[in-house]
Amino acid sequence: MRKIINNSGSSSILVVLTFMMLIIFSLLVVMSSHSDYKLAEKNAYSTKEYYDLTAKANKFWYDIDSILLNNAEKSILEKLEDLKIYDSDSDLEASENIILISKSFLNSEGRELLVEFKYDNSIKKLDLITIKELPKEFEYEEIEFEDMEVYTQ
Amino acid sequence: MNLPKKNINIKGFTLVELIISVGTLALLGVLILIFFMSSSDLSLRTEELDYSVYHTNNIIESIKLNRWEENPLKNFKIIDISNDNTILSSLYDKNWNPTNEENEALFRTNIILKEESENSEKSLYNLRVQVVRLKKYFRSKENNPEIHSVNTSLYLDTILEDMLK
Repeated sequence: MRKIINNSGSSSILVVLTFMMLIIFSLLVVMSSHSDYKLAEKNAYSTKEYYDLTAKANKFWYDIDSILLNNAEKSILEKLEDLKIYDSDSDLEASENIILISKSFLNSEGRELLVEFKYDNSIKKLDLITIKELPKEFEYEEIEFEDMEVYTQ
Repeated sequence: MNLPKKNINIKGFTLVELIISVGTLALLGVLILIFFMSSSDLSLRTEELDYSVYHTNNIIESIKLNRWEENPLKNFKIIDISNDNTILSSLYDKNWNPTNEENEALFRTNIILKEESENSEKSLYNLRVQVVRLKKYFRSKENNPEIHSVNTSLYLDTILEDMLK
């Protein structure tokens, strides 16, 4: 029986496999780096959006502070009226000497920033008491909660 | 003793086969190299973008707290005051350490402050913080690519001149 032995086959296969492995790994590395970069871009964009909302809140703060400073001698009810005229969307609460003002700022992406101010009429001073981003509302659609027995004594 | 007769092919590859295989391998090698270099460039961009975001936030929060004597604000120098705009700038090397040498610098951070309006005690400032890379990225056409920038407004107790003393 005649056999033809060609030793060049195995080395060719090794070279082809090595290159295939290198190509697959390099593609995976590029994909991984790309997704990392997308994540970093998302973080940067989210920060920009936060500071956009903060800018709106600061402008609102400046406006209501100007109104309250310019009408410092008016009564608390008159100040409340002025604030309502300036912005009917904000929530206003007044007690004897205090006005609580709160307003939410929404952006196109649905992010919401809540700011709350406290105006003390006795010292004629407006303070920022809260500035926080509200989490988006969501509902569990597919999860059903069973009535669980609650241990009581 | 008669052993079975073996025909061993000792001819090897022809010149054309060799040229084709070496050419193909070279092309694949170049492709792999481009993939790895792009990946390294992307990793670099990611790292710099992440640090720029952190750096920018740090600057804005430091301005809010009026910490002009501390890092990172103490490294900034006024480069221009015109049309109500005050422009401050600071240079950083590749490890984000502040530097004064233009040759060593890889990043420049600009703060552009503009007083929009003022009350009796406070002022509303328009603020822009921008991080720029002073050298090109791999396969990038921009000379000074902007890595990150943030625009915002701040309502502060302090007056601009006092802040920049």
